[in-house]
Amino acid sequence: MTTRADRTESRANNTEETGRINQNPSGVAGETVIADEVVAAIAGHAAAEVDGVVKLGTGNVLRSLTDAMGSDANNKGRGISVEAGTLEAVFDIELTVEYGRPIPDVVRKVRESIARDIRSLAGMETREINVDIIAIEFPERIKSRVR
Amino acid sequence: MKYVNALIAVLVALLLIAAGAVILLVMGEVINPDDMPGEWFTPQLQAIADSTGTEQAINIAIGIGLIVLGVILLGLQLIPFMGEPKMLLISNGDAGTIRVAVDSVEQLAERTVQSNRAVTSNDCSIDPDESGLRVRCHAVLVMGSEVPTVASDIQAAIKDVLERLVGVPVTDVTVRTKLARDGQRSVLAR
Repeated sequence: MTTRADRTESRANNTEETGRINQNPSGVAGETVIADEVVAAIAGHAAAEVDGVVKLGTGNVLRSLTDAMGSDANNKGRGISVEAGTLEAVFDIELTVEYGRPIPDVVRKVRESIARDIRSLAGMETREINVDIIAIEFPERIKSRVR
Repeated sequence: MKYVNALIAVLVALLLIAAGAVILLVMGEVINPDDMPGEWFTPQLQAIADSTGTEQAINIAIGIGLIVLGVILLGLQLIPFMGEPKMLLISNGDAGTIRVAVDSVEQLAERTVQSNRAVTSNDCSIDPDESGLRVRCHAVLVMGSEVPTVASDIQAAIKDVLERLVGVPVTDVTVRTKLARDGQRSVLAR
């Protein structure tokens, strides 16, 4: 498993390699920087599209408040945090899954979906996706039609 | 509804703290009862400001008590939102980790137990160890249930559901049953 220090180092290395590896295909001088928030948004959208994923994030009142006030640096309140370099990214995701779906299957599809979208839309590879299932959503009891 | 209740409780807690603070501030002559907005409580606050001796001590105790009560109520509402939930690691590989909230796994087990017609109520807890999950459930059964059969069905169902949905081997399921209206007798199935 990758430690936070490894990720930071990786990110630093990626940044150093920006000019050499991440060449600009247009031939125009300049650098493209994709903000972590954008990478997180792409990943969040990709995860939310997977069958069995009910929502991202905790629904935690305090976290939502701190997030809204800008004190949640990792955007954990929204259910996804990202450490993105130029070439690759590491994600920490919190999910609520639907009752009856095997969790390993849902997580595998989430990882595939995120990796695919991050590669096609941001041009990055996904190095690691850590998934926390924070809740299982059970279907509401169906009311009987007879008394 | 849960959040509405929590919000009401937080508001009540804040009101208690404010009331206690006002009482203490009035008694300490930091604020004048006449300066308070509105005039609803002016006579009461004036009486508090004028109190002496035992009455004054009682008022101080009431003020401190209200603040303590408010802080406790506020703490009870906020503590569940502050701590990280206890997580169960179900896989750890190059692709990353997968963890599940322990209380979600317990809910899954409880729902599985509750789906048995003979069960009126139940409570489950899980205890992860290196080889898998150990599950303990207390189930209250309707009178007339065949306890060994029901307990066996519950054990099999829990093992099947948790292994299939969570993906972690279940090594042990202990079911302690009680019959409804017969709380003294309990039967243990392992």
